Formats: sequence, C-alpha cells, structure tokens
Amino acid sequence: MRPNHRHGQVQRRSRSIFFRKLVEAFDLDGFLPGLASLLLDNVPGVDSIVVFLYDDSKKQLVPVSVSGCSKEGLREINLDHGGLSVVGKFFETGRTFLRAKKQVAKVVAQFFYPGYPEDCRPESLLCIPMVLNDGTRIGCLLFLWAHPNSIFLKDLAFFKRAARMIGLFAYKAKTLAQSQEKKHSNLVCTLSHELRTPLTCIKGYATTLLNGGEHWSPDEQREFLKIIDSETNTMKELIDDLLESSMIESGLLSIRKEPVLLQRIVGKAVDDARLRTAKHNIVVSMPADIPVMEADPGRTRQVLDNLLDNAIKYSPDGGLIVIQCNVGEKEVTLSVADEGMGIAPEHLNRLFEKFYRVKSELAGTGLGLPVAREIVEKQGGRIWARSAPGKGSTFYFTLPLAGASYPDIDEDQSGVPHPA
Amino acid sequence: MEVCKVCSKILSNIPNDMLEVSLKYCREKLGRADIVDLLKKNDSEAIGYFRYRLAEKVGVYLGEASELVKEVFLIMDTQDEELTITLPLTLIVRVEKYTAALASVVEALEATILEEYRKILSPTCDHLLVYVNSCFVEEEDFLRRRGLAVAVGSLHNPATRVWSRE
Repeated sequence: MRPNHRHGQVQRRSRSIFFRKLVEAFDLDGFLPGLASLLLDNVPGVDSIVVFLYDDSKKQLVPVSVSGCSKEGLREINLDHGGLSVVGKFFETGRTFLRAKKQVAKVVAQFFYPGYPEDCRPESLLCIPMVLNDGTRIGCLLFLWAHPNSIFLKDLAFFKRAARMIGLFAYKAKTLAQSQEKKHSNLVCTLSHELRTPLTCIKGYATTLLNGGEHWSPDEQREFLKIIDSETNTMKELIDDLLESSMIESGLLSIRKEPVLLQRIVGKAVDDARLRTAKHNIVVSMPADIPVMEADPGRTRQVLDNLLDNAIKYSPDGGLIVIQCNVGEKEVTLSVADEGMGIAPEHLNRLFEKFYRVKSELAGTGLGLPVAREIVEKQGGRIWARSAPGKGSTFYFTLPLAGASYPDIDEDQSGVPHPA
Repeated sequence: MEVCKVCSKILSNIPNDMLEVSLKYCREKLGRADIVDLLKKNDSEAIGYFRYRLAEKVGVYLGEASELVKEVFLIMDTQDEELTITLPLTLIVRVEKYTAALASVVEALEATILEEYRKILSPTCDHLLVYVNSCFVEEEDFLRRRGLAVAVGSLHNPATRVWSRE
C-alpha cells in the first residue's frame, strides 16, 4: 500500500471518529468548549480553529471554542451593521470566504483585539458560516493558518461538512437549553397555580369560620374544616413532590430495604385508593405465592399510590382500574391499567422526564412519575408504560426477586404473614 | 355509581367460585354427584352445562367490572358430541371500546381460571395452556359485522349470548 493512500485512510478514519463523537455527544454544554480542539486534532496543517456562535439577542458572533491561539485575544463581532464588516457580509449571505496574505489582516482585525498575540498572526484565513437548511444562522467556523497558501482545496469539503455538523450540534444545544428554561418557567407557573388554588380555598373557609363561625351549624363548620383539611393535604403532596424532586437532584433519595409482603402493600394502597374514589371499579389480581421481598415498603407504596392516583385522575367515572402482579423468575411485575384517555406514542417516552406533562390543564406538577422512576430504579427495578389514545394506559414496574424468600403462610391469619 | 361488589374483591378468589358454581350447576342439571369424574371422562352433556355456566359467570363478571362491556357470547367451536375438557372456551366480548384495563382484567381472569381448572381436572388438564379465550369486538366492528363479529350471527354455528347489559 502506498504511504499517501494509507495516510488518506487514517485521515478519513480520524475524521469519521470526529463526526461520530459530535453526533454522540450528550453533555452539550460541556462538549462545546472542547470542540475546536477536537476538530484541530483531525485537520493537520491548520494552526488555529475558532467556533463563533451567533447571539440573536445581541446580534453578535461570540467565540465559544478556541484551539491553537489565545481566547483572550478574540472579540465578539457586532453584526448590527452586518453590511459594514466583511465577516458580517458573508455571515448574512451564508457564503464561505477565504482570505490570504495581504487581505487577511483586515479581516483578522475584526476577529481579534488590536495587538492580538504573535503566536496567532495568520497569513491565511477560511471562514465558513454555519447556516441551517431553513436559513437559521448559527455562527461561523474560522480556520487560521500561519503561512500563506496552506489551504488544500481537497479539505474544503470536510471543512464545510464539519461546519454544517457543528452548526446542527450547536443548534441542538441551544434548543435543549431553551426547552429546559421553558420547562422551569412552566413549572413556576404550574406551581403558583397549583399552590394558589388550595390556598385560596383554605383562606376562604378559614376566614369564614373566624368571622362568623357562630352563624354556621356544627355540621357546616365540620364540612368547612374537612375541606380545609383536604386542601392542606393537596398542598402537602405538592410540596412533598418538590422535595422528592430536589432530593433526586442532589442524590439524597434514600431507599431502606427490608423484608416486605407485596400483598399487604398493594392491599393498603388499594384500600386507600377506594377511600379517594367511589366512582371507579378497582380490581386486584395477586397470585397467592408471592415471596417475601427485599424492598422499601414506604417507597414502593409511594410508587403504587402515584400510579393509582394517575389512573383515578385520568379515568372516567365508572372506569375500571386493574392492579395485577406477576411473579417471574428474576422479578415481580406490578401493573396498573385504566380506561382513561390514553397517551399518544410521542408522549410515552417522555412521561418519566421531570416536569413533563401531557395535558397541562390537568392538576399536577409532572414530578410524580420521575420520582417513581427514581424509586424503582434505586431498588433495581424498571418502570414503563404502554398506551394508545382513547384506549387507556398500563403502567408497569418491577422489583427484583434477589433476596426474596417464600413465607410460611399461616392460614389463621388469612394468608397475610407478618412483614411490612 | 356504586362500587361493584364482585370487583371490589381480590380477583384471585373469584375463579374458584366460578368453577364451583359451574360444577354445582352440572350436578343440579344431571342429578349426579360425580361431576368431576364425568368431566374427566369427557361426558359431552356435563361439559356442555359446565361450559355454559362458566361462560355465563365470566360474562357477568366482565359486565360488572366494566361498563364498556355490552354483551358476551359463547362460541360453539364444535358439535356437542366432540366436546372435550381440553377444548378452549371461546368467548366473544362485545365492548364499546377495548381498553388497557379490560385487557389486564381478562388476562388475570383467564390465568387464574386456567390454574383452578387444571387443579380440578388434573392430570388430564395439567398441560393445558389456554382454557377461557376471550376475544374482544369493538362496537363499530360489531355493527359492521367485521372480524369475529361475523361468528355471532353465523347461521351454521351461531354463538350463544350468555350475558347482556340490557
């Protein structure tokens, strides 16, 4: 094999690795600063690379990733008057431009502060604007060479492809950050609304009782107190959800495993659910031979409560809710099925994301399922959902059977032995 | 709406009752006490009564469990003289719409009935994989006589209605 041919192969492989790394990058914010350096490693001959991103609010090109020269020497390029600067003009039109030797100084002056470092005094410059197909301007990719006539035209296709990929990458990072911001802003709105509604109710009934308690009969007073009590519970649940969520963020959600009987946990959860709704049929199917398992009873109950609450909330009056338990070889699977409105496929994968809500008009913070997922996964299980619009939903979660043992069932105790 | 009394029980206890009631029905109809033996000998008359009563009980259960269930039919898979205890009991359940909860309740019900049935008719049915086989037909398909809905009105082998909401 000829050396040039082998060199070409190595280069192609190294460039394809660059693209793969770009596509597979998960931590977008963390990956961005090292992007120029990664690219520089794959284009021999180039002395410096700078990635500029376009800040729409300030109408500026901002250097976000630099390799081969000092970042301090670089400056933002104001595009308010795009037509006046060379960079602005080409950025506006989305055209690649190449400058060498004499012309380069003028362009470089736009990118660097006066007196930019000696180690980065380029003789050739290639600037490729990053523009998406729909015309969205993302930024530009700048290649600098210390010597004139160093650019190989055969590399141009790779540079353009790299610029296009980095543009898509930056766009992905930007939209993700925006969606996070939007989620948080939605959360604040949701929380204000969710907390204000019960608070208004509590305040109203408490004031009524304080100002004219004697006008109301003891039964009516008791009814008001019951409403206050119920609304306080709603607020408590919301605050608990928030606390749980922040515990997940900080990795403090604790699981205390102990021997538990799932029959008992399910039984209690269903009994409580029946107190919350008289309008739904709740059916439980549990095999008689469920072993005593190692799990956190309180947290497992929390997951079940959450799934049952959702089933009740989203099912019509008179709807059927089925809790089923199946014992497998390695795990026990619990499911909660309902006759509710169902969930479209595009929402199914996102149900367990924090603050994600399918229907924003219904009460809820979008924290219940993410908390449930954290609890299940911390116990070594899995959680998922199956659904179709209009056909109801089934939520499943598993608990591992490791450490489980079969109880000695005492017939006198209706088959319910001692643990949790 | 009141909570359905049948449904508020743990489902695992129900199939046992259903099979007991079906056996009792056979005893009364045939005036014999050794019904399990008759079934094990594939007595078509005993099997016929047993299957009918069990289908009826499953129909009642499903009807009470979900308001979406409108009618339940028992499909006559074969002529009476060919009935055996291993022959699946095929039901057509006419529903307003088929939901996740219905799928789940039927899956659990069929599994527990099968388990009890195997116990009663052991060892002949020890390896039986399916006994009650509920097939759902949604209202639209039913009215347009699509799919299994055709079997309900079959002239050759009409299905028997075992439960109806009306």
